[in-house]
Amino acid sequence: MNGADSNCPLPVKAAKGNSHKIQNLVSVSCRYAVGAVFLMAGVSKIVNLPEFENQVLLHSNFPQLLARLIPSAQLSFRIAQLVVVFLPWLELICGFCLVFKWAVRESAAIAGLLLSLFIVYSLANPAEECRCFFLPKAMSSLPTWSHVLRDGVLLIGSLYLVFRGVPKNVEA
Amino acid sequence: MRLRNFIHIFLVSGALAAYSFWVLSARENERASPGTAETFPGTDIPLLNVADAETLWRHPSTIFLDVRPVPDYEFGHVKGALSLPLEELDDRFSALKPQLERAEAIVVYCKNSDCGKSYWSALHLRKQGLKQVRIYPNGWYEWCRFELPITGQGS
Repeated sequence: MNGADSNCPLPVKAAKGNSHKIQNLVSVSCRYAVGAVFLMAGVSKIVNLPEFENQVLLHSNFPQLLARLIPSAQLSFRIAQLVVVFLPWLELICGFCLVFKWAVRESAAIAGLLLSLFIVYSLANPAEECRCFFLPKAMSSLPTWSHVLRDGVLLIGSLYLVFRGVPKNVEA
Repeated sequence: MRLRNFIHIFLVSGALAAYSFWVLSARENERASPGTAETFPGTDIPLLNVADAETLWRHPSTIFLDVRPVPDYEFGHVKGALSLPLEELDDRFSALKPQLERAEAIVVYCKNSDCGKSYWSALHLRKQGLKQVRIYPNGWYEWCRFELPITGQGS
């Protein structure tokens, strides 16, 4: 009788199974964490869309930042308006895709790109209020570093999903 | 990763955003009422007291313009106010115009009623066709005295 014929799993196979389980668990956790945050961010902005639009277009540096990049003031403002209306829907769709396991890598890639832009913008404009979830009273008092830290953790989660986290049998 | 999935995500988001944009564009512009009968002599530019200014400040479609010099603005200003010193008004107006046109109310303020810059700036903005401009004559000092929201290095 040799060891291969017994019912006991081989140590190498058991270790592989464990690592696959851990990878799956991390992947699911990242999907739900990033997805839930993006869903929340999208929904909170969409339900207050006119107010969110005014807050960003009238009280943030974003239109002036675009005006520096695009010479025509009218055109840059129009683009800022389009971005402000498009962003919450993109967040919502990405969050939806991540939570419901559809196009996970692509949604995570878009989420990662958005998070990177948010981090750069927060660091460049530390005095500005975060309009991340558009819950003005609850979130505005938090310091900038806490938003950067949160976005950084979510960015790591998104990158994990893009590069490692979606096993072949999970991806749609 | 598939390009098709990226296209789907952007198409769905784009369609929903276009719908929102259309709804927002179609909504009727509600102009904030000035809440005071007092106007700047010789014009119809309303003069605001602190209560009216605070009410307008709480409205998200109001812009506060700080016309004091930049160091004063950096030291402290009405929370959310933009800096537009009178000396830079001509140079920077064209870049800010779309933003100002969008606002339902523009409140111009200086340090107090002795400072004529808010009047001159308001007149200039009115000449540029911004009919929603208002003056908060008692300005920064009164805003601070009432302990209303401020930001800046000295706050």
